Amino acid sequence: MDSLNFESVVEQYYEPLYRFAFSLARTEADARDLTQQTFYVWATKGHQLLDPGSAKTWLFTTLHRVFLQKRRRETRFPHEPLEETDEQLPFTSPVMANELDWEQVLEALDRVEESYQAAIALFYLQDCSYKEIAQILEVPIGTVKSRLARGLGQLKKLLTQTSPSRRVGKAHHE
Amino acid sequence: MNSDEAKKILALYRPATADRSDPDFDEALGRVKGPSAAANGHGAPDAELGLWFKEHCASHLSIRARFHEIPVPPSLKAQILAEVKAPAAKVIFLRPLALLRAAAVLALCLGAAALLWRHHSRGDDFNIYRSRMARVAMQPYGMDLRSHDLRSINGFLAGRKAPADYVLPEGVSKAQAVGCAVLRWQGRPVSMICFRSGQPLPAGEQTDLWLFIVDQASVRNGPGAHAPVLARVNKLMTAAWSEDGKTFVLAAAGDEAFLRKFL
Repeated sequence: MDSLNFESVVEQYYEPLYRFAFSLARTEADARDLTQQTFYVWATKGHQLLDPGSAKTWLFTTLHRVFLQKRRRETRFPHEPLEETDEQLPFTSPVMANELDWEQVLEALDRVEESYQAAIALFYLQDCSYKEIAQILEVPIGTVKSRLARGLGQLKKLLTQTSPSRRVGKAHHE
Repeated sequence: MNSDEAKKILALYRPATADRSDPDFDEALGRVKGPSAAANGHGAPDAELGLWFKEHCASHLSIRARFHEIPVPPSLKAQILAEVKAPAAKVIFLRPLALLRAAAVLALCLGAAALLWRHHSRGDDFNIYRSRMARVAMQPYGMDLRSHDLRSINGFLAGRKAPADYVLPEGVSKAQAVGCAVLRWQGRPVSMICFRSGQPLPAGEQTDLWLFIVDQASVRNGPGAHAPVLARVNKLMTAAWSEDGKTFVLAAAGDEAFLRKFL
């Protein structure tokens, strides 16, 4: 018999779950809510899992489902349309990315097409395999890769526009 | 595979992860590796691609680091643990062969556990109750009855043995009722009555004011009969008080001043 202590599961996953929740919901209150609800579902239904190794995927899947349920009830703000992604991915230099803070990165993520956002957050946050991301988002692995290819293109384009060095550069030229 | 094709594939490559052993990246990685890769049939390394790949990895790690800087509230872990108390806290995974034996042991234990549970419940703290109810309000739920008529609502609640004999605060009595649902807390019924405050509701929402009523004896360490205790629970502001053997929690999507209008 394998056992997972609730506290150890919380200890191991509450931070990555909260960060994933925050990447999706963008407010502390909503992210807290999503994280707490996820562990509440775990406490009441987690025992149905036969494989302790799938706890991580289960938790992230649950959080994503709860988020989608909530989102369906809420006002959807129209996203500013982005131009089609270039064939060639825009280049975000490491220096440029270092100049940004996490809030700027999440602001950019918020402007990426909605259906790509969860995949991008998991891509950067969790080091999940593509198979795991597909399980969490409940879509085929090919869909994950195409969402990421397009979503990362949009994100990097937005980060390039956000970069302080770029803004300073523009100011000098204006 | 040419350089552009390799870049497209490697744009999804994450350094220092299991992607290293993902066969989907093998060929593209082979193009950026050194002479040993070339010797293994990958052809000559592509210097321009190698430089691009180096920058890609550094950029990925940098953006990844920003995501990992999202601050986690220090109180969150304690809040999660407080809310889900010991009875539900141990999640046990059973291998198929152990299921039968475990079921027999479980059956023997259940009777005793049920008795102990009645007397020894550790999940009846008021803070946990309030937090749970606030989350119910924020999560998708279905009202058991939709009605603007409080008499119909109270009749429905009484028929389900949920608290239905109560006095509304003056402010709430001016709000429009929209329906109700019966929830459970520690096996006891909780009346949830939904109202509209009168302010514009977000699209898709039908209510922005919730009143939860439960027998006072069901909730340990609940508020007294004096002035309502106000507390923010995540996105909602709540007020709690006890009266005539019942504990009330009023929750609203707004700030303290907004909630006070309904007390």
